[in-house]
Amino acid sequence: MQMVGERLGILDQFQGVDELRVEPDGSLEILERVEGGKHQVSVCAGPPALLGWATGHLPEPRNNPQVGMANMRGILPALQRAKAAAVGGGGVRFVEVSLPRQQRETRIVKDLSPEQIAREILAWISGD
Amino acid sequence: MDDTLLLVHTEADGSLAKIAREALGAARSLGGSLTIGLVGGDAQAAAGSLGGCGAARFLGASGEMFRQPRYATDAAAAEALCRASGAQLILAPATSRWARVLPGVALRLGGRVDTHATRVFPSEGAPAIARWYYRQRMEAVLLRPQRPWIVLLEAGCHPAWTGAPASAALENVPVDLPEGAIRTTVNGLRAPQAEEQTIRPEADLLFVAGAGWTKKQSDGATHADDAERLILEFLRRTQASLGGSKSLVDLSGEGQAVLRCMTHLNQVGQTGATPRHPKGLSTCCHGEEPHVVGWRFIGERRAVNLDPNCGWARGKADVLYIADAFEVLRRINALLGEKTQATRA
Repeated sequence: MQMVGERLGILDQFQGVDELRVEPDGSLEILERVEGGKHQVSVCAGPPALLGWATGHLPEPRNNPQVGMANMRGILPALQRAKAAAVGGGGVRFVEVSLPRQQRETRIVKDLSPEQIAREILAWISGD
Repeated sequence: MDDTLLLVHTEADGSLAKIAREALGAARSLGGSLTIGLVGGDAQAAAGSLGGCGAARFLGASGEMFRQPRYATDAAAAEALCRASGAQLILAPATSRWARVLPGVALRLGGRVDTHATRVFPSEGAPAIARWYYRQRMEAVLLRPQRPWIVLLEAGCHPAWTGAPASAALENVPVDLPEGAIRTTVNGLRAPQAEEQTIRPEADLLFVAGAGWTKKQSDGATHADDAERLILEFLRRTQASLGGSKSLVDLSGEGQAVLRCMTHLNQVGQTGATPRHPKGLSTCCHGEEPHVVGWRFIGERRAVNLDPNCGWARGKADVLYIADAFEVLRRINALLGEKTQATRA
């Protein structure tokens, strides 16, 4: 999006936007997500501006397994048959692709009281 | 090895964030000539804090207009620093400020940019990066022949540089800003509508709360208020960061008892954040992949759950305590309180 904005000569760009309000004078108040779950509040004099929208005040959509199943049946086979097209992003060379190690050896603790567990967790948190 | 420019910016208080020092640690590990490019209200003070890092040059875009994050000024500053350094590899911490502008800067420089890198290292005499794809499901190592190559490095992926401050000769780089380019004013930060700040990216511990906290307990009733009190007290005492499972975040849309301190910004997992912390403690979390992706970048993991077969715990955590999280957290808070009193005495 930033590159598209650059091509269009737009120097007022905002990413991770959760809220946009047009003020009476035509300026734009924009809330962008930044670190720590906070929002940066900016006021832009007005268009043109480029805004990469996040999810607003809404969370991510609820899980919907039906959509996933429909994708598996319809979209993925079509993608597998599709011919590769050059899109100008050439040059990258993937040296290695790997799946992360999924399993950890989990020590299961069943016989400790809440007090004992609390002390053990506290010692672990404190690095004792 | 390519000459490297590390781009960092100051925080609101003029300091450098931990993620900036982590990126410096990564840049130093590459070998080759290193230049530091600083952007901020007072770049000289920040340069001094990195003075002992062994960089060959310190370049700065300093002044009032660079104090706050804003696309027009940050992009112009970054572009000027990149051009002045002549570096082929440009590393930057993946802060929201740099993530906003550096792809645009790459276009201005005729270079390439990669975001969300988790490692950068020498390979075949050139820099290579690793990054995750498909929502943190697979990791790829890649090389690019194009230069300049801008790489945004994620937090928590490299030990931070911890050297001592020393004097640094900062070269101020003139920044060319077209007339009327500053049309945006930054009016500060706004915290989410929660009782207190619960997301702490630099915390040593991630505390993940699952939907179990809001379900009926052994007495047949829900105790969401108690849960919230316990969790907030724990966060206050430990300064941990709070994450939530998707199922817990979803509950707010179903009219069920919810934790008011939890917003969708706390959500970790496939459709939420994948934060990086040295330790993680999950409580009352249920579900299998993809939600457990929220655990992917947590170093040491422990879980408290009444279900020994919970997907967040078995095979994913180092230790699983089969216990009532309410009781355990109550005891932890009490012990922490005693510890605080003992320290004061």
